[in-house]
Parts: sequence; structure tokens; C-alpha cells
Amino acid sequence: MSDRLLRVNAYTTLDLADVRARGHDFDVNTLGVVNVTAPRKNPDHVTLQVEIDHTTVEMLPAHADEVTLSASEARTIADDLHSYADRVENAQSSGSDDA
Amino acid sequence: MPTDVERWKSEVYGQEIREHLFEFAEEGYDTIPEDERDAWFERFKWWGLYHQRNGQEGYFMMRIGTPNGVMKPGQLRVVGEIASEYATGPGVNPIFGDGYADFTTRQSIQLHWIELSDIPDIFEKLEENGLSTQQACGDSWRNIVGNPVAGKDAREVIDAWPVIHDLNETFKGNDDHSNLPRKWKVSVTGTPDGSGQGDINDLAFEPAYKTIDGEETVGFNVRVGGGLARNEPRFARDIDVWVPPADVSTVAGGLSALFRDNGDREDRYNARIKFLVDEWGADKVRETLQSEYVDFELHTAGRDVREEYTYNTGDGDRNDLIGVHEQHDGSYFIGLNVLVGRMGASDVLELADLASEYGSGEVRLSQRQNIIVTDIPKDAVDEFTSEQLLENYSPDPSPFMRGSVACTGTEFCSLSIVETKNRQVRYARWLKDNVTLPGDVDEFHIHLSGCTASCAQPQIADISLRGMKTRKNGEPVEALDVGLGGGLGAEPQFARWVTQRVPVDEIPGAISNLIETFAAERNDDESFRAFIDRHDNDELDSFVAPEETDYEDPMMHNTKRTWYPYAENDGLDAGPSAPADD
Amino acid sequence: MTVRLRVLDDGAWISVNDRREVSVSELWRVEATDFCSCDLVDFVVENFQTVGVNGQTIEVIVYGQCIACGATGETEWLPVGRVIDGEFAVFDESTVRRTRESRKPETNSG
Repeated sequence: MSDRLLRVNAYTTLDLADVRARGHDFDVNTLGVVNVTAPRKNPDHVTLQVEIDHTTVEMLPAHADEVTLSASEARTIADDLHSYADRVENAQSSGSDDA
Repeated sequence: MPTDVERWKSEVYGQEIREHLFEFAEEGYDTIPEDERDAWFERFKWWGLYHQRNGQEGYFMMRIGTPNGVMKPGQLRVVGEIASEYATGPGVNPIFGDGYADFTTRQSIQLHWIELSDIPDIFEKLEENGLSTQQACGDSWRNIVGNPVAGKDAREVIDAWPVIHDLNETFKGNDDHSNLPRKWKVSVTGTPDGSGQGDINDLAFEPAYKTIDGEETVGFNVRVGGGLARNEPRFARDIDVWVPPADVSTVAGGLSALFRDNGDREDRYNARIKFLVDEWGADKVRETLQSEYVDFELHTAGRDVREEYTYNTGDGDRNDLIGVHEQHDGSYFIGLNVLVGRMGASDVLELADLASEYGSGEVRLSQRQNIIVTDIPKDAVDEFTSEQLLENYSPDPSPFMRGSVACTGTEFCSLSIVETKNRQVRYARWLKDNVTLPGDVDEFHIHLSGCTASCAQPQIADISLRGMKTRKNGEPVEALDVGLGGGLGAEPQFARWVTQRVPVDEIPGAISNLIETFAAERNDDESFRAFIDRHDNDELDSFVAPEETDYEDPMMHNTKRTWYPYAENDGLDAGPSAPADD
Repeated sequence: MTVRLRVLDDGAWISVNDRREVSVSELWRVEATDFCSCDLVDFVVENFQTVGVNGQTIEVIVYGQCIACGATGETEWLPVGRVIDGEFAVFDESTVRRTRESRKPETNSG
């Protein structure tokens, strides 16, 4: 994808994530990049960035979505991510028990 | 009986190749006669072009040789533009995208997916801007290395840059030295820190003092026969010669000619000068050099400063060149960490702009695959280091990111057994998130090499990793041999290979366990290298306790049996055909 | 009919008639009691040393390692494929390879 907006490099948080792009007229499972960053100079917010491979979704032009988060909003998301991750892991491990 | 390669070289080699190369570029890749393919691909190496691995036929890796890693103002931008326009192909790297430049352990640049038909345009652009691929590969003088900031480093005792520049001008393209038995790697260092890594080169000039007519003068001691490849690592041997800067070229030429005339042309595996030094001994090398290759009396070795070496030693204050350092003109050079040496083309362009904005536009490449921006005025340092780009190319990176070096690997290279660059990125990320080093340890070198060619210089790292295979649950998987305790300095040591064939998904756990043991059992503030040094191989093997963790490795299968490891349909039969002439 | 045989790229390849035919990093099953004490060497091909021809069979000497016991070294001549009517046919990966007792083949190490 040569018109990518988000730079992909060794520090990108998730280089290859499964993303569903869903609208009223489309619903496509594709791949995307998810990145978390903050300004280097006087950081006063955290940025959560998502860019899908738009070439698989006709309806959408190339674009990146960026959410500006305060430190506490970032932690709220982090906490939610943690607790859902725990839930998934627990389900997986009990699901694979032989007994 | 001479090898085929020798025969091809005697038919067409050196400058002559260019004409043919351009003709093939014009007429198309498939005009290379089928029964001459091997010969031409071997010859193209002299112009820095290396045919990529199976499944990627018709595409070339192109190496640009920048002596001492020096890139004058504007040159980094040119490389970024070329990478952006030409270094893209059918394979897209999941971590780095497409269009990127690799900075190498010989202070050069490698670009991939280069098509033959684009070579004339690329060479024109390079040459217009003072850059060249000449002899970057092949059996001749390779890119000359040293302390990348020669000429500017406040700590230097002698300016090695004019010496390196002169060697490059004299020997690149010199017909008398363009067809040697094998590659010829030269290092010249002017700082008392060992940053030119002379010990692992065929020919090394390191700073030394000699009293001449009652006056102490600084010049260079000469060492010969270092090299890491193929399970036969050697450090360069002291041949008891000191030269003033003015004589470096003559002595270097003498040794190059000695190699040319005496190196093994029958057996390429015995051809490097390290084997000749093994056979003859340092004394005979000196005698032969003196009697047959120079016409003045050689001085005996001077007083060296090896006791002061800190680069890549696992100790001391300048173990690498990352961070903010003084130049002798009062401004600063700032070393930025480029994780595994790979930088996307758009990042290269942005850094080129920043270097122009804040400095002079000049940058330098280091032997640890990093990049240094020179000439930053003192009052601009803070602002420069706050630039957003440096978030990913930091002057103050985490130790695991900072110390990571990796070769090209099965992504592009025929020789490699395992995947490397992306893997080392994954390892560095995991280690950064999961392992804490003792507070006083701010550097930790992990070098990952895909095979025994040792392009990532694995034997001289804290933790050396080298590509292998093993079986896990009966299935063949990629694996790594683990070596410990390597490093340069006054007493250089090669790593001891203490644990073999660890499945790649168990390496992070192994490193984690090892560091935990180090932290718990070290004496006071003993360095990792010193800690390793006082244990025997069995003890160390027990410290390296392979373990599965939450680290997942997506490339455990045989990445050689793909046309490109990261392609969705990666089977060899799904690969692209050689690029059409357009 | 002559077949052009070479070891290429510092031992990464065996080239037959200017085509890359056999690569390093493969795992071979080798019967070689003098290499290590395993019944069958679980051999990872690290580096080709020499290639030669023995009748219609292309053979190589290769440096590598048994990944079961860790023994390293160079093998004797091992077959990699056959040339029939000028066409090279590589042996399947699962072939058990052993050195032939016959005459020493003509060699070409690059």
C-alpha cells in the first residue's frame, strides 16, 4: 500500500492487526496498523492511531483515524484492555483443559 | 586448478563489467545468456549488486559504499529518494513496509528489490552526488571502516579521515588491486576507544605513538588477519609495524599486493588473509612485506592505547556512539539508534531534512547499524533531540533496542538459515517490556546472525545468536545457537557458544533467565562480560535456560522454503517472475 | 554431454547449468556412521564445499550439523540429484542419503 499515512517502522505498536471496516453500505474484514504515541516535546496527550488497508475497501479513501487522549483517558482504555485480555486468556485456558 | 570464479574474473572483471552491466540493463534481464548467468551475477558483485535469494530472481540487493560511513550534506536525501523510488518490490515487510534502507556493520547502505533496468538511472543519480557502489561486494577492497566521526570527534588523537579518504581514492578502481583472492576489509581508527573495530578486519591501523628523533609522534600500528566468518574467527595479528600517516597508503598497498600474490586462489574457503597469517605467522608476513613490497625500512610497533579502548567492550563510557558527544570545534555529534539498522525511506528523507536544518546536513553511519548527525550547535541540541522523529531513532534508547544488531537473513539472503531483522525487533520489544537490567547497566549488546557468515558480527556481543535448526515436537523449526561473553578492547574475546539449537520462541525466555541470574549473582557492579568470563561453559549453559513465554514467533517454519517469508501466499511456486524490461 | 556444476555465493547454492538447484538450510536424512553416532544423521545443510558428478548423479561435500546430537563437520560425498537427458532432477527432501563406495568423482569447488 504505497499511499500509507501512518509510518510503519520498528516502533509501531501493532504492525498487522485484524480490522473490520463497517459502514451502512459495507462490511469488510481487512488488515491495519494500530499505533500509540505521544509528542516528544512537552507531551500533553497520548495519540491512538488506526489505519486500515484501504485498498480492500472501495468505499473508503486512504485515511488514518487518530484519537487524542488525556493521560487519564489513556489509562482508562489501558485498564479496559487489560481486563478484557484477562477475560479472554482465562476463557482460552479453561477451554483447553483436558478434564 | 583455478576455480570458475577465478576464470570468470580473468575474462572480465573490474571496470570492464560496467559496460556489460549497462547493456544488459538496456536490453533486459533475459538477454543475459543462460549459460553465462552464474558468471555475470558473480561479476555484478564488483559493482555492489548481489542477486537476491531464490524466489526473488531478477532482483538485486545494491550496496552503496560510503567510506568511514561519511555522508556529505545532501547524500542521505539522495539515498532516501532512491530507496523510495526503486527499493520496492513484490514483497512488503510487515514491520517496515516497503521502500527502506539498511545501514550495515561496515558503515554502508543496502537497498533491496533493485531491478537491472533501473541500474543506469540509479548509478547516474548516485554518481552525480558523489556516491558509488563500486567494489562494495566482490573480491577486492571493501568499504573502509573506522570511527565514523573521524575528523570531528573531540577525543581523537589523530585525524583518520584524510587517511581513509586517500586509501579510498588510491585503491578503489585500482586495476592492480581490483582482483584479489577474496574480499579485503580495512579499518583505520584515530580515536583511543577502539571504535574502528580494527581487530576484526583483514587490515587494521590503530593509533600508536612512536619516538622519532627524540620526539613522540602519533601514527598507526598495523595488524593483519582478522575476520569472523565460517566458524573460523580470528583477531587481527600484530605484525610489529608502525607507520606515520603519510606511509599508510604505501603499507596498505604493500599488504594488499602481498595478499593478491600469496592468497589461496584454489580454494575460496581458504582464501582470506587470516588463513595466510595462520600459516606464515606474523613474522613472515612482516619479513615478506619488508623485503618484497615496500622500499623503505619499516618502523617497529609503537606504544598503542588499547588499554583505553571502550567501544563494544561491555564496559567503559563509550561502548557505542549513541547519544550526545562533543566535537572538537565546539559543536556536537548525536548518535541515533536505528533498530536493526533499517529505516523507511520517508524517515530517511525526514532525517536528511533535520540534519540540514539543525546541523550541516552531514550524517555518519556506524558499525552498529546506527546513524550519527554531526555539527549540531550546542544551543540547538535540546531542540533537535525533542524532534518527534527521534522518538523512533532515539539518542537515549532502551538498552535492548540500543544494543540490537541483525543481518539481512532469509528475507533476502541465500546463505542465511533463519529470519533475522524482524525477529530481533520482536525480541528487543519483548525484552524491553519484560526484562529489567540492573540499574547501572545501560547497554546490552545482542547480535543476531542468520548463519556462520557472521555479517551481524555475532561473536563480539554480550549475547551472540546464530541461525540454526532444531526439532520441536518432531517438526523442524528455526533455532539459534547462543554465545556469551564476546567483545573487543585491550583483550578482545570471541563469544563462547554455550547453548546450541534453542527454538526461536524460547530465546526471550532464555535471555530473561540468564539476565535474572546475572542480576542475582554478579559481584557488586561487575559488568555482564566480566560475570560471563569467570564462569565455565557448563555453568553458563545452565544459566541460559530456554523457556516458552508469552513471546510468539510467527516464523518458526522454514522461511527458506518461501519466495518471501512475509508474503501471504509464500510458497515458492507463488513467487513473482523476474521483472520485465520496461 | 557436459553439465555445468558450481558452488555459488560462498557456499549458499549448488548451481546446475546456471540455475540454482540446491540450497542451504535444508534438513537431510543422512546415513553416515562416521559423522555421528545417530542411526540417521538429522543433518542441517549449512554450507556447500564442493560439487561433483558420479555417473549421472550429482554429489556434494557439505558442511553442517546433526541437529539431534550437535555433531558438526563436513560430510563425504552425498547425492543431491540426477541428470537425465541433460535435465537435472533434484532428490526429494525425504531421501536418505549415503556416500557411494565408488570411484572419487571429478570435482569443482567454485
